[in-house]
Amino acid sequence: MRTIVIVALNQLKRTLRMRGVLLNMFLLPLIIIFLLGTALSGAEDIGSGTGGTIEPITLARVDNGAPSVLVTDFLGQEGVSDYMKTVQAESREAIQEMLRSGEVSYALVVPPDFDQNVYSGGETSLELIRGKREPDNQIAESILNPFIDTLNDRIAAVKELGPQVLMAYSNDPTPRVRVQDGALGARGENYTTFQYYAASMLVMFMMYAGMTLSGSLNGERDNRTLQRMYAMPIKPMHLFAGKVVAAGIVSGMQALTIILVSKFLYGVDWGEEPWMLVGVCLLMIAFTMGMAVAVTLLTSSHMQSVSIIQAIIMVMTFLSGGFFPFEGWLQRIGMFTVNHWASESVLRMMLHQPTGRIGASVAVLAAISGVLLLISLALYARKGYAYE
Amino acid sequence: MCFIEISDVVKRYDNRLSVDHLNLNVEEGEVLGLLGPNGAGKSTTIGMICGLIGIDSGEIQVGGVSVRQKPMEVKRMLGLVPQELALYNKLSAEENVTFFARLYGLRGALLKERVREALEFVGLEDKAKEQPATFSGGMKRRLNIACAIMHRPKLIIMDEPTVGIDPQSRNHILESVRLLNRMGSTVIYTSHYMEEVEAVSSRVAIMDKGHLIACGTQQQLRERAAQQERIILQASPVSESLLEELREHPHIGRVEAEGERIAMYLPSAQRTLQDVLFICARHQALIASLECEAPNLESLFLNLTGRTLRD
Repeated sequence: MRTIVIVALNQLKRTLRMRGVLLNMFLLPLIIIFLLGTALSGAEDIGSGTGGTIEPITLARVDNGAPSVLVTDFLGQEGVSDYMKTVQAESREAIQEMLRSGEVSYALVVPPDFDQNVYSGGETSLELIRGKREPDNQIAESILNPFIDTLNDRIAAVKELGPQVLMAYSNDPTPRVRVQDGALGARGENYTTFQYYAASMLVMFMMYAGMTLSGSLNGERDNRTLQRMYAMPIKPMHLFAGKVVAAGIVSGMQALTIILVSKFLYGVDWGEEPWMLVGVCLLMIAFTMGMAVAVTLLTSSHMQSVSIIQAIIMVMTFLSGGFFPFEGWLQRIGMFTVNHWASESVLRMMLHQPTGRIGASVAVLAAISGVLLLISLALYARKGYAYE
Repeated sequence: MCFIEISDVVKRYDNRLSVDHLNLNVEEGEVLGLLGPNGAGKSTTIGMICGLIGIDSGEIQVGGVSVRQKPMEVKRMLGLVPQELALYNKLSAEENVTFFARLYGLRGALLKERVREALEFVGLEDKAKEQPATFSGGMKRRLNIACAIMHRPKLIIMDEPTVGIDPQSRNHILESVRLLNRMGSTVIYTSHYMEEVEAVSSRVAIMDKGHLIACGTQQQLRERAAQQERIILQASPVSESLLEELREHPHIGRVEAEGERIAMYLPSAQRTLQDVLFICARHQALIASLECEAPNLESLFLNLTGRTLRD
């Protein structure tokens, strides 16, 4: 035990004297969180810790005939007009020009006799014209689609059941649509860009501690200090454990720095499950140490180990959406990375989700880390930590 | 009294024999110079004594303790000065020695005293707070020694401790070896430099291709080498008939020719020199230079192995 402490303290002292390592491990993640968080989020989101607000968009409308009362009433509703300002255009050509110039975000063309056709169950259709910005299109369609669905229901009902069915709608002549922020969290909160990148960069940079461990294990060999120590009355396992403990402590210090600085400097809300967060960090340390040990024991040079660990970190961070969130098959592949489960655990804490849901992600992370630790122990038992 | 007893030790790497049935004893309190070219098996032998390398067969005992059975006990008795510098550049000289001293179990006031003593011994007491990165090659070598002696080991193994350093530091290190020996340590000193071994060793062991080819006091080895004097001459032209006649001479053991340079190994240069000059004259070979070499360990080594130490 004494040997482990002596080796760990010596390693810590040397690591903390390496300016390059300190900058890379402690300062760089904070800078990247700041840069990505600032570049990819609205300024009002920074540090709010709650869901981002939706900027109102502008809708251009043209009526090819008498103005539709149904459409006018709908667009004037509270909850719709808050998110979509309407401007009246004179023609379809004018609308196209406005969309091209970016003056409006989305356009709606109302056909002649629209209201009459709806009430009589006749054929009619609204023309929706998308603008240049996809997020604005999505906002417009998320507001208009429910309205159109409701109108389609009415037309179908009138067609099948006759005009008397309109009596059922007499108390609510205009379909109502409520627009509200997505409620991903239990408290109706959504995570900010800062939170997203704080979680993914925490995970990614904790993995870089593996490079420190690999460097220190290879360094003893390259320095020939390992040979000297093996000629001393100490057990190789204790020496090895001391190196792992030191790298684990550095990784823990790094996690603490990222969490505290991002919390107090950038206002990142890390949730209300501090012990769960500590658990995720410890599991990440276990994973990182296991990965570093396995790679170091399987490779023959420091350069090889560093290249492999670097590649693993980059590929896993990318696939897990650590740099940019993915959808579809890439997202499904990302689920096979440790980064995904670690980030997911942290993000669920940030969203104040129930402990059970957080625990599910943490359990997967624990399983992955456990398996890797076992593999690294088996490799150590088989190959040892040779001095040359 | 025998301190290290190496009995019939064999070490193989795959199919290659690195140490071949080696038998060697080191007396307590002596400095044994271990000589041999690269690949002779010196480092493997040292590695086996230190418990760094496993022994395939045979037995090594240090101070009556078996390396194979009680490696930790043996390691407590020894201090290894590795061939290459084994230091931490980010730690000061004092921190380097302190770290290794702690691993030997030293602590508290004794730890501080021994660290100071070791630095003083190698003449680095006023550089204690400086990092080795700022040191000269010689100072690094001295610190390398300090890191191996602070626990006052009974056996010090120095594996080529003077490689690449200035003469002043070399003298300092050689003087340190003598002093450590006077203080009671048994020393095994390996080197490529014959003159170093001659300067510090009470006994010399010569290894080649895993075998011990000679072992004895310097006096014993010199007597053996005395039968191996050498005449080197530069002559022109060097014809085959000249070389043949030299080889046929009953008092010349071996003749080596390289261009116009001829080297002859013989028991007595003085007795045969006249004949050599006569033969050269008969073959109309003009002599540009002539040198008679007194016997030394280098020539003994050359004669025993057919190559020089630094081959």
